[in-house]
Amino acid sequence: MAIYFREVSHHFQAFDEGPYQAIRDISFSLQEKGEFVGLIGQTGSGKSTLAQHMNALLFPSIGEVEIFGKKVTKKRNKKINYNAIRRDVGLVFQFPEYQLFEETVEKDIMFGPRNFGMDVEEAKKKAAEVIKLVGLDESYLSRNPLNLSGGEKKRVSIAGILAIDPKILVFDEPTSGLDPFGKHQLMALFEDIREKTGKSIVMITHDMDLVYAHCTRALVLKNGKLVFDGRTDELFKHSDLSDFYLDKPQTMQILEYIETKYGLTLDSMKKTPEEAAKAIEAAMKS
Amino acid sequence: MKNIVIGQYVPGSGFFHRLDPRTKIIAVLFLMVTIFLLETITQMAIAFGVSLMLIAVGRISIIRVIKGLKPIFVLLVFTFVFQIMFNQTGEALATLNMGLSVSSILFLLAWTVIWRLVARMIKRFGILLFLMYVTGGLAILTYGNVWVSFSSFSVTVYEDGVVMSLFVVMRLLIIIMFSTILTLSTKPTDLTQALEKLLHPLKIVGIRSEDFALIISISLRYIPTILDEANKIMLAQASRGADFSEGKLKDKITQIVSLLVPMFIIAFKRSEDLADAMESRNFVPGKPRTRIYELSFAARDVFASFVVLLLFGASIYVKVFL
Ligand SMILES: Nc1ncnc2c1ncn2[C@@H]1O[C@H](COP(=O)(O)OP(=O)(O)OP(=O)(O)O)[C@@H](O)[C@H]1O
Ligand SMILES: [Mg+2]
Repeated sequence: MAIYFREVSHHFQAFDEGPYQAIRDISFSLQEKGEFVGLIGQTGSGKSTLAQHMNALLFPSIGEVEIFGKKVTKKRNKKINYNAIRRDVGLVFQFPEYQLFEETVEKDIMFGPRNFGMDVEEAKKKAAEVIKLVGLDESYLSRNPLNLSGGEKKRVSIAGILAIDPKILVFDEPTSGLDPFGKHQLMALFEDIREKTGKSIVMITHDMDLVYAHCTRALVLKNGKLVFDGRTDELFKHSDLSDFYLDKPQTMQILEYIETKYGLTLDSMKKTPEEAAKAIEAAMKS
Repeated sequence: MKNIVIGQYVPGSGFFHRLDPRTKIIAVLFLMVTIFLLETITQMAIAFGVSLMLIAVGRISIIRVIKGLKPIFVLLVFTFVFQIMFNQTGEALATLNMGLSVSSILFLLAWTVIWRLVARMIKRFGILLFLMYVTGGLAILTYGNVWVSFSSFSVTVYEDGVVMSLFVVMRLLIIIMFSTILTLSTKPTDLTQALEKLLHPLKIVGIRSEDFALIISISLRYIPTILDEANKIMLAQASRGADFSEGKLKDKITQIVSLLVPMFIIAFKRSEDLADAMESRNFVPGKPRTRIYELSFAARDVFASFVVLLLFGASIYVKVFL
């Protein structure tokens, strides 16, 4: 296991109100290899806050997060190199506007690797490599990141973390602001990373289709509490998702609708249109 | 960064909280003038006592006021020391023969290390520790010259020096206390509204106080937001290995740039968005508009004004006749 959360709570000190508890009493663990976790929940349920604990950007107010053997608690520990944790666990923020600042995309992507001690030549090579991974061509390297479109900025910010080559990747809503094609390209990239390196990936998203199609494990937050931790298909079998303010994936919704409307009995746990069509065919034949 | 309080307003229901902000602003102005009319240490001491009484009357927490003094603490100490050093008249009270020597420098170094260590461990009462450090340092300069001394000098403290420094420090303290009472007991929004009303007559010379007040209230509203944003940017960059606490100078500069550039971009973007949002809701600058809470004078405002005028009159009286 690479990351352990042990009864972690975090409260923010708001300016005019009292403390606001964004996540409470959360315990789970995450393996270094082979996991693809979907972190889901209503807006404001604490997903981003939880994610920022995974690489020690935020410290728990109560409890302990252990990341690759380093125990992060409320108090800053002089013996722990927090920067090294951020090298091990890469976190891409929800909004790319918060990080792009260099005059060229290339330099911006190199910022992370350079901070972690990679030399210039190597970092340049890395930048050229990752920009293609996120679906932009090399001509983007010389452009100004501030003049890019929202989706392009998003991709550059993802490239900036990929270039660090962390052991575990955490993405905060990586697909928001991307066109459908870009979304699938990105998911293909994640699958590819998993296949080639086996690195665990955590993805925050509001897109149930993506979670169902790609994630092996789901963590569901509701009002800051971890209310579900388990296999994705088990989550969607759970009949009352509205309890979690969630919805079933499109394919499942359609299949269930067909099932009730035409009085068929069919297996609605299908991920792709092809599988769904086969299920309908099978149900019609019988 | 999150602990910076914008406007130090603390909700409460004391006398000052219920006063009209216009009364408070005018009163503070008058009281400041009053203080500057005073000339002797006795008068200043009385004024100091009166200010302390005001704090008690207004049920304002003295701890908050002391906290408000923190930023100017260094200034206070410097004023005090300079006044003592430069007023060389009156009766000599004490003479300290100080000197620099190898031994005193060694002692000073050791003393500094002890001070830093203790400050690290206790983490509180920093001001007190600093004062103790300064006193100890002076004592070392005075008595620590036992070995290889290479220069010596003497400092004489005169009576006028002590009186003057007490006078100036008390005056500073009183002024800070008044402004702290004002900001502790008045919401920033009320303050701007009061300023808008008070500056209204400037319309004659073509300055619209409404615009001025709008600018202030928007800035006040956005300071916490921008700080919040800065915090998020810092986290996002830390996520890419920008360690804001460590690193060489060259890295530090890149890291600060990595914080400032997104901050400016976001601030500009926010202001444009806000302007668009206001325009699309048909905001027309300078048009008369109503408020949810209108300011209103009450009997206590009359009473407070009366007291202030009384104090003001008294100080003119002592200035002219005593
Ligand atoms: N810096 C902060 N200061 C105060 N409160 C905060 C801060 N950051 C987040 N919160 C509060 O904590 C709660 C959880 O926020 P968080 O950003 O983790 O939600 P989220 O699940 O990521 O939502 P979204 O899906 O909209 O991104 C929210 O109610 C938010 O208002
Ligand atoms: Mg979020």
